[in-house]
Amino acid sequence: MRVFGMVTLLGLVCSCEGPAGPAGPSGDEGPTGDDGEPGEPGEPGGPGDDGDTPLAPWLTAPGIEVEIQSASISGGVATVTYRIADPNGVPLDRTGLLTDGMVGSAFTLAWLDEDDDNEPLQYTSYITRVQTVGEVSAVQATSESTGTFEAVDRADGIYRYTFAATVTPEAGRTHTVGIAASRAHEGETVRTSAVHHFMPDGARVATTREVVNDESCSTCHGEIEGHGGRYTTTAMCVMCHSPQTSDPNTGNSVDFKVMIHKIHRGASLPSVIGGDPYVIVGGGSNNTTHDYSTVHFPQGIARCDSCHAGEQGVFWQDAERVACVSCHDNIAFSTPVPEGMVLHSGGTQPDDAPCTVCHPRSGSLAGVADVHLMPAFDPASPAVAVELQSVTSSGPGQQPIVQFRVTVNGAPRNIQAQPMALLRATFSGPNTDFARYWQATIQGGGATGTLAAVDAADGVFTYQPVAAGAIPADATGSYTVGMEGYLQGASDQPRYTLVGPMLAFPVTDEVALARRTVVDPALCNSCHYDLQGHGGSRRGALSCLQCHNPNNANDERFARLEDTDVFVETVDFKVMIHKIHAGEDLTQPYFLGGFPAPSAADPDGTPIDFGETRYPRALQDCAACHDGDTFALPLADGVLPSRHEVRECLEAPADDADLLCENWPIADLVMTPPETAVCTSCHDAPSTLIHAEVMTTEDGQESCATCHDPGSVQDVATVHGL
Amino acid sequence: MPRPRVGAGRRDRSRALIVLGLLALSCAEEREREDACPGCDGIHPAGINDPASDDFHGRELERRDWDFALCASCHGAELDGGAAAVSCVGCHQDGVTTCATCHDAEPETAAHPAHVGNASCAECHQVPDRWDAEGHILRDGRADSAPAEVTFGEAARRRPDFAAAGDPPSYDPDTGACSGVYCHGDSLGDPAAATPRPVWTASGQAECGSCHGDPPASHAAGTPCATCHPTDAPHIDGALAIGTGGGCSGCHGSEDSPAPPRDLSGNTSRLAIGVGAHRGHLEARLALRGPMPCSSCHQVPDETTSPGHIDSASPAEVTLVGGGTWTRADATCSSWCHGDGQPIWTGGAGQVSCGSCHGIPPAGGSHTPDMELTDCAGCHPATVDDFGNILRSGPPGAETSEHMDGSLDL
Repeated sequence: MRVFGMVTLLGLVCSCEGPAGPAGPSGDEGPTGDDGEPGEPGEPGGPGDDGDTPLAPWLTAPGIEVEIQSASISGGVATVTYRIADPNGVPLDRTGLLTDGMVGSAFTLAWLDEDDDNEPLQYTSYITRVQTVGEVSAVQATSESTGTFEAVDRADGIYRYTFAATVTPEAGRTHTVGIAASRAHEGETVRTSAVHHFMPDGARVATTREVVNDESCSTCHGEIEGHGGRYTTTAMCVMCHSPQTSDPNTGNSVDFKVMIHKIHRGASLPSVIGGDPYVIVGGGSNNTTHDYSTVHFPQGIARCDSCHAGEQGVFWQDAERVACVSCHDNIAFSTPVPEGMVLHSGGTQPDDAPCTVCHPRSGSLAGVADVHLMPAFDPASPAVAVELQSVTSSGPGQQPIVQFRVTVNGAPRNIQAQPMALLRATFSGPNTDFARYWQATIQGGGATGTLAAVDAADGVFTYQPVAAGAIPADATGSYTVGMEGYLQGASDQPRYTLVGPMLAFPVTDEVALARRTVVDPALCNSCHYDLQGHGGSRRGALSCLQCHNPNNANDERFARLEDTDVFVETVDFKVMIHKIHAGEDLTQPYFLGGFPAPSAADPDGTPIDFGETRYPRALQDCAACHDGDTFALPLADGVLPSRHEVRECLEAPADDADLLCENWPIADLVMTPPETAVCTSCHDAPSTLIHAEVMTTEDGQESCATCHDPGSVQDVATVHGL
Repeated sequence: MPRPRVGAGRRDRSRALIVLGLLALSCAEEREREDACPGCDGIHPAGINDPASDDFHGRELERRDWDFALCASCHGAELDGGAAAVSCVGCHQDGVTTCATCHDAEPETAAHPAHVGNASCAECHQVPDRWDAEGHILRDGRADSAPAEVTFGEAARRRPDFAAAGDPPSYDPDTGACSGVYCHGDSLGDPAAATPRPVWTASGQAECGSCHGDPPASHAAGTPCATCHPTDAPHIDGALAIGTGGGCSGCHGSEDSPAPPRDLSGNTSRLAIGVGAHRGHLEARLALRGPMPCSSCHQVPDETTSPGHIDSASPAEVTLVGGGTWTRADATCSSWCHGDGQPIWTGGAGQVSCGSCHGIPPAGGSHTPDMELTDCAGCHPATVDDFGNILRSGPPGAETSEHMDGSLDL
């Protein structure tokens, strides 16, 4: 069959075995096959392990404490283990699910450089950001909280935080980790901070830095509250406030030693006096402008160890230009000298190295400690003291005889042989509340009366004022005598002032009854160091009360411009001191006339704006100044209303050539009831004053204690958070 | 690997046959295998396999100048049986003429263990290429009896430039003492060395202080070795390791300057007396004058071993140019440089300031107490400028000044 034959032949041809060709490409993947049949059910598994017993919520007290237990850096990963608890040590749940209030945390990590002597230099933070303002950028140390949290022991409040930042540790240097923790609790946010030093290689920490310490700061600031309260210890401040960080808005360094010096010198900075405010703009998204140009340091700015304390507390004596010019910020070390600045008195200087030639810690031309040692806190300054021993002849209308003893550095001083530059007696009374005072100068310009020796070698004398200094005929009860005075060489020499003593004496009382004590002078001095007033001629807080009594208004020194009516503030201590310290928190302006008083040449006098005072701690902390609970209402019986005056100038400008108003009668005498006066000295909003007036009868009976006495709804202590 | 063929016998063949038969059959090390030498009796003497016996086959071979051909005549050319059908390699499994047939590769006799690992055999012996090398156990065709000759190698003969030459190294076989060897310090010539000529069979002769004093006689007592000699440096290598590097900074100072820090004890803090104000002087950091050379206060050596450098105890001697006194006890200096002052060496920069060397203004001369700093230039114009700053001139690091130069600019 032909067809078959051809096929066969073709098949024969095709099946002839030739050389093998290369392997062909793989074929396309075939379609997925159908699902198989379900398998047989497996054997049931065994019972699982017991689960953790769920924690039940537990009760805690308000507040928060944090303790860093350990920290490490390994392979670029930094961790910190810490414990959070309430003030009683009861652990807190970070999430706020098991204990009241969630705990927020922010972390910093920095290394501390050292010099060749292993003395600490400054921190460099591993946690940074770049703050850009316009075309200006600046690196800023900061904190982070974007890492990971791990509960190590939730029941004991122990957690571990792993930093988000990758960290390459600086070998051989102390590392410090800091935590700023906050807890929202019952509508308030409480905060605390803690730091922990460690060496990444596990070695012992040998170098830490403490140039200032919290205790020093707290004498004025109470609680340290940086950045709105987030940071509560200077040990944490210095981790970011180092030369590493600056403010791109102003170009100002926020290095702690620069920024803090400038802030505290504030209004006294030569640059500020020259018209350039000292401003720092808050970082991050804050961008709040902080103008520190109105800060007045409450004691001698030169008393460096008011802040400097701790292991390296003496470092302030080591001359370093950047630190020096932070206060002395008008000193130029090169030429040409910029406008508003002056050339360093030692001429141009190439660098810091030669500073100690003229400015060693002590000695030389201007040893750092030497030039900052002011007479007011120089231990070598003579210590003058007067001990009031007795007052006799003290009945109504009598000229009192005051016996006292004078010492200098504890040794008796014969003030007849070696007179004091000034010695003056102040009488005030009655002691229920000082309503009047008068003075008699014993030694110094304008001295009157009789100074007699009782035992001159032992420094004991008596003084009897002239008749004008007699006890008023209408005096009753008990009165007080106080003394002020000082040693002084020439008028341009420092005054060495005695701490004003006071002694109560009977007028009609059988036994003298002293005036109540309201403030504790030691508390004043915790911030003011050694409180002095009136140019240093008066020293000590208690004697202020003799003159700054409720009946004393500021009329002698208030501006007296012609054709002007003024409201003259009282200088009653309980009002004046509150207002001075409330300062910028007042809602109403508060000026007092200072020294020198108005004159024909200067009828404006010396108005002092206490409305710009920046109180450095919580204003409501009454106990910062008050002795015990003397801030409580009601006030003691006999406390007097405070005198304010409305003075009306009756002198026309054309009456004479000057602008001083010399016909200045009282148009209205405002006697503010005592509780109203003292409460509204801080709470000076008109609405508060109206509230007080509403709660006061027409004859001056106040009802403040109804709501504000201890245990009442609006107890003073409670509303002030005490 | 073929075993060595032994040479043809030259002596009493009958006796040699007996000996070799025994050699093959009675391994001294494996006496329990005496049944491996059946038929020895009557052919070899009874002690042929007893190392304590004078008839021991090793001694017999030595007496026959190690003529292994005798052995081979009965035990075969390869000593593996032969006509006697008794193989020597039954005991000498690595071969009859390997080193271990007569001695261990690392002998444990006398001080061998102390040396093995620290020195090669060739440092004390001529090591043969093969058993019958001339001078090993054969010399001029005759057996060369033990003990092995001591022939010192490079280590013992080493004569570093810091060591005294002395006699060449030698070993006294009668006393067993090595002398003149560098290895044990005899060539160092240190009279403080305890046992620079150690006895081979004695012990405790390689302690600190054996080869050189502890410290050497040329060193000051009490100075820690590590002050100058790095603890990780090679020892007994013919080199004197001083400091961590070459030059002055090997022991003190740094790459930048030979002056501390660091000091000989490794301190870097200014508070250490060895550091103190060295750099302040050399760099004139306070700019009160030009930099001061080391020679202002020290005799500077030309080289490490120069007289007066390390041949006395630390600390370094202070020799003030122009006179003066350094009192180490309180670290103070009284010298013309500091005038009336006695700055504390470790007190830091604040030790020297205006007024610390002379009054402000100085007392005497035309000075008056009311003079200000700005008045100084009136009489000392080459020394201070109108502000009272010290004048210096010259390139950085080589400034000069009329101040504190020993002469009065008036």
